[in-house]
Amino acid sequence: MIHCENVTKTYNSFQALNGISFTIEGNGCFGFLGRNGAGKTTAIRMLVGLSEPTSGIVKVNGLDVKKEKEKLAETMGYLPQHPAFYEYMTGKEWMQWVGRLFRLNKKTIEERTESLLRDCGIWEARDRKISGYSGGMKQRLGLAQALMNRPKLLILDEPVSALDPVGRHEVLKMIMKLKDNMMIFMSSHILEDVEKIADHIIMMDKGELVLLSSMQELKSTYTIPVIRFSISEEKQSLTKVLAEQEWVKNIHVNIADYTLTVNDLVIANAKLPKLISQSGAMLVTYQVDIPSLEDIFLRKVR
Amino acid sequence: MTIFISMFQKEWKELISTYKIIFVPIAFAILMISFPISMKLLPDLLASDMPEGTVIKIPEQSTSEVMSAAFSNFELIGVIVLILISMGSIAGERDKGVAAMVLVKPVSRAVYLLAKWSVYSLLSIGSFIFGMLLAAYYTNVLFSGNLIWSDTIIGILLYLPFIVLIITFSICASTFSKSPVAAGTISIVVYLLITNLPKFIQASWVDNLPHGLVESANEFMKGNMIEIAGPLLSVFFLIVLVLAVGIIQLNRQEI
Repeated sequence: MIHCENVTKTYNSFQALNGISFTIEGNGCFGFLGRNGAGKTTAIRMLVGLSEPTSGIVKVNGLDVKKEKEKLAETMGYLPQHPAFYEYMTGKEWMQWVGRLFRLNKKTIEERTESLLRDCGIWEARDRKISGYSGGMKQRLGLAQALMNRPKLLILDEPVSALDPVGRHEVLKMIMKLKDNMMIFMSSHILEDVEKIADHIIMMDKGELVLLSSMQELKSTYTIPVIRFSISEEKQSLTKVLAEQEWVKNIHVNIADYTLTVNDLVIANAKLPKLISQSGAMLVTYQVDIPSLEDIFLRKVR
Repeated sequence: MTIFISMFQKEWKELISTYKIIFVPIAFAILMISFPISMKLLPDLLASDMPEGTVIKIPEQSTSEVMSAAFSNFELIGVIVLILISMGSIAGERDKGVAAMVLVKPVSRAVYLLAKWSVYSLLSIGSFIFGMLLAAYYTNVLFSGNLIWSDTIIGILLYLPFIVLIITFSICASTFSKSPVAAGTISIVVYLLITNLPKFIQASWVDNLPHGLVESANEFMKGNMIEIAGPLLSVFFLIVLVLAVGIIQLNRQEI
């Protein structure tokens, strides 16, 4: 559970967070979006206890991030955007050391080290020094170690930004599997990925919360389908007929090029070709556009 | 305690991996033994630059005088070495982002700082004892051979709290800045202040300040017994105070 109440953060005269308030709970993946400088990383650093709010209350898993940092750390996993390690350690040594910090017994540490390194695809490199790891391997190790304590909340700051397409696909698959058992709070600039795996979206802009919605709700509210089609010649009668249809929300005509915003895509797809043919015109092009998360994002932050 | 042990073991491993555990004792040994050797060879070195027939007469120094001088030698360069090896311990990790990876685990910032402080204190104490014992051995061999070991050992032991104080300054200065260089500069300035400021104050209580312990250690080496309770207490008090300030500062810091 994450609870923020009128949270502000000021650096000298710069207001990084401007009184954000929200509460989220339950398992699932929460996509945390915003432009560069929107305040995402500031908010994340606060949630994990690395930074404190200038004013307001931040509670994570019921614990005050100011006063109960160590208790909070027991229940949470965190992968920063650029994970850093003691590079003289091997991947396996780092995992074992992290396990000891969580006071896990030796057997559990061994079991989890192996399963997590295998799941993250770096088991083969376990005995190599971290200094020899690529950026992608460090990202994977960062994810593996964030899961060592089986957290209730996993906070990921740009988890796939350093990965190649295969690595990205694997990590996203892993997040998909994990989200049934924990809350995943993930910031990312790759909106296509967020759209695939997030169940909820939180959007920030200029230090303020601009959107908090479930993906389903978001789609029904914002993803109004648009149909673009062209006919062989200008037909004013068709324009008139279309304007009378209940399922047409908005209509824009440029000679023989039409752009329709529709309420119900299924009905529109069924009826529109018929109406065009009845008008005596010939259909030249027909295209349905469903706004993506990126379109919604751009609309919200512009 | 389990967390402290894990952190301590990690720090220890780091000393081994970075070879500090070898280089620091070697550096101290070279620093310490170079003094008795150069003192012994001084007449020959001077004679080599003089016209033929020049007679150089330098009365041979006593072992306690040589040891005391070696000690002063450490005060200058040894302290800089101590600050150099420890100044980046926290500042460097904060700058690289490793501190953030560690402090989101159930590790209190106090434990994080104390583990580093303990390991660096141990390394410095061990290296200093190693260097001083080597210097004492060479002094004994090269000079008259009448070194009083008990006085030397007491002198060495008396200097140890002061070494820990320097490490404490360096580690805690490292909580104030993300730059190891800035942390090192803060430590050197503070060290210069506590060692030199008392020289300008004409009062009896000045002998009870931390630098009094260095004077006491020196006197013990020469076989003079003097009161040490005051400076010893002030050093311990300062160590605790600086550690407390370091922990409070680290707790307040954005990581």
